[in-house]
Amino acid sequence: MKMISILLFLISFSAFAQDAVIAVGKAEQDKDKLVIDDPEIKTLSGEQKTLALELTEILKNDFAFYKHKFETIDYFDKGKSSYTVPDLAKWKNHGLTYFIASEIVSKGPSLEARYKAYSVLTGREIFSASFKVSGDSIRINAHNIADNIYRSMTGKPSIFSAKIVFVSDRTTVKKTDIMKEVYVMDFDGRRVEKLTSFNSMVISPSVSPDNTRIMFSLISAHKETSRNRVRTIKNNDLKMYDLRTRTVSTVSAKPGINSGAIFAARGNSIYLTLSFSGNADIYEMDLGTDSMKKLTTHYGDDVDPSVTRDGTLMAFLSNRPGRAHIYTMDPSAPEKSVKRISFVGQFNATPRFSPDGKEIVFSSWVDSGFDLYRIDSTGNNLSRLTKNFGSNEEPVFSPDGEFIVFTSKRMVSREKAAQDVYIMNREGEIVGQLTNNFGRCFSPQWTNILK
Amino acid sequence: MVDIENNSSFTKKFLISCVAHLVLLAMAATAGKIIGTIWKNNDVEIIRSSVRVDIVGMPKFTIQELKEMEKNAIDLPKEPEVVKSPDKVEAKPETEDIIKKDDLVIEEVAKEKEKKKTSFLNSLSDYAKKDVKKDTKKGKVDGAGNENLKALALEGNRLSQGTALTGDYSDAENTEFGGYVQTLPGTIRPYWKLPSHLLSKDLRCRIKIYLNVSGSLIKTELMESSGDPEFDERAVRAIKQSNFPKPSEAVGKRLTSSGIILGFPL
Repeated sequence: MKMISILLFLISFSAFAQDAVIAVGKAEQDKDKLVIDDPEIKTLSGEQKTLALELTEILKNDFAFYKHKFETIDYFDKGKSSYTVPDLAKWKNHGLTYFIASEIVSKGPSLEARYKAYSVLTGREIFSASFKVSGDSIRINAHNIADNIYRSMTGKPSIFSAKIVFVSDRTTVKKTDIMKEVYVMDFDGRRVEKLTSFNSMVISPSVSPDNTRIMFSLISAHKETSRNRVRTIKNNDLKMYDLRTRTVSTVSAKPGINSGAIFAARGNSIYLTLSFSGNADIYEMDLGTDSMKKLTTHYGDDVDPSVTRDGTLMAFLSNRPGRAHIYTMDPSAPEKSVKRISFVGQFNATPRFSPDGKEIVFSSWVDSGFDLYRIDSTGNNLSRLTKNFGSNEEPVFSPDGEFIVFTSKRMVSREKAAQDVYIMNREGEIVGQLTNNFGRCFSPQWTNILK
Repeated sequence: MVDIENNSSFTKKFLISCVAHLVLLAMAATAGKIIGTIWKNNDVEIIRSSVRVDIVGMPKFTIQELKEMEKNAIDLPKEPEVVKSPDKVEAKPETEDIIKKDDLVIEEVAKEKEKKKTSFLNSLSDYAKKDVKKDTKKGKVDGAGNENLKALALEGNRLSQGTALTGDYSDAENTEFGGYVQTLPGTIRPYWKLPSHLLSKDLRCRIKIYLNVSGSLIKTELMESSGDPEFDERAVRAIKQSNFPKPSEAVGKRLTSSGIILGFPL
């Protein structure tokens, strides 16, 4: 009480003092007005001109993903040489925040693209660099340029150089024998590449923290001989795909291993769900020694772990309260630190952490399908992200925490449903559809190792 | 002699027993208190756990929908609030304003009835009348109906529009100058916007502004930079875009000669 009255006295005193400060309060978030001007093109052949224009289009499209941050404006003064003669005063008068000017010249068979970015408000050039651009790798080049410019503006990496690993059943021939393989695509859904050819079913891919490996479950056929008979037994093997060498190795082919294994924060051990003891529990397995440690011991089923980047917090699903709900725990102090996070929802699934570990995105069954929700890791601030947008599942935060990719299923006809990968920003504003007519797509994950 | 001795030993023993009784009583009281506290604490915990059971459903509206609703609802009532604030400062203590805001969410009729019933609330009848007036004014501005109700309901979920300044300035409210400068944050805030990369940086700058007697800006002076030129520039831009209300002559003169420092955000 005394302290409060002293504080009040000091505050009122300061109010009368000469240097009284009036607090304006916290600012609201504003979008930056951004111009990506057409490049100045000199001495380019027709083909090179097309390439230069394509480069600009990719750049514009990249920045359009961050539409919650940038309002991209078509420049009103077309044809002016904004690269050689920047007119900052004029741009400022038009209320612009950033201006990207460029010049593209011919360099032998390829192009040299010179870019400059200005912070119009401060009147400063914040970025200047030149890049080699060739027709074969124009998308990689463009994403790289966009990422560099984005970093100069925000001080943070973008998603432009990131890629999305996902599973698709597009190679399935017979409905009774579904095939699911691993694919990878650019963050914008372009340049899709097939990574595996098992002619079998891949489930639940998980990318290692250093982005070099993908772990997944694969339904494999094992031959077993008993009483002089050879039998084929199907098993859920745990496989590892090395993105650098593009080779597959087997982590474990022990019978009874379920899917849903993820990497621990340090990457040298994995968390997986095993149910051989009668109920499902989460275990930690050392990748070097294969030794197992049981983390959850409750009689309820505990499945689908997800861990923060620093490894201090794990989220998982448990049916302890009767329905599937989200729990968290410290993997180094299992069971003791278990805390229930979700208290509502008919069926909550796939909890995934934001890169800073402060939020969890998950799907929850509502009426006739799944919708996506976001909640603080402490269990506060539950907010809804999707509605009337098909059935949405398997959400994953982008590496910069600004986006969430997920799968969305909708009925195309009475019998056929399409399931594609979509991207939205963290506030639930849909940015776009990433896969289209590519079979049914599942389990998107982010990586950045491949070019 | 014996009697006297007996008497004195009796007094002694009586005193000792008195002290002993007092000590026992004190001990019993303390023990009772301790047990009471433990008992009470247990009660509190039980209540707490029973509160946690209160389950509500999953949110129906998405963040996007809520934003849209907030945008539509909040835009209109903002204006009269800004205009009204100098009145508020001069007339009534700030605490009443808080009551007003909460009451706005509750039905007005019920509120008035309640005020007549209780003697304590009767003493606040002046303010109550003022509230009703304010409400009807708002109704006129908004064109009443659902829009208005929605706005009020949403306002209940928002932090008070009055800034920390109103509380800090309780003494200065009596002065005209204090009353005027309190309106400045409300005038500037609609223009005080930052991109996300600056919002997350937790920066602060302080700018001194000089106004003339008609309330227009004479000049700005950067007293304390945030270290980020863009942040400072955005604060200056917010000031330049604001239309400050006309101050009284005395206040105007003071603002012209010595100005006032604005803290972004504090």
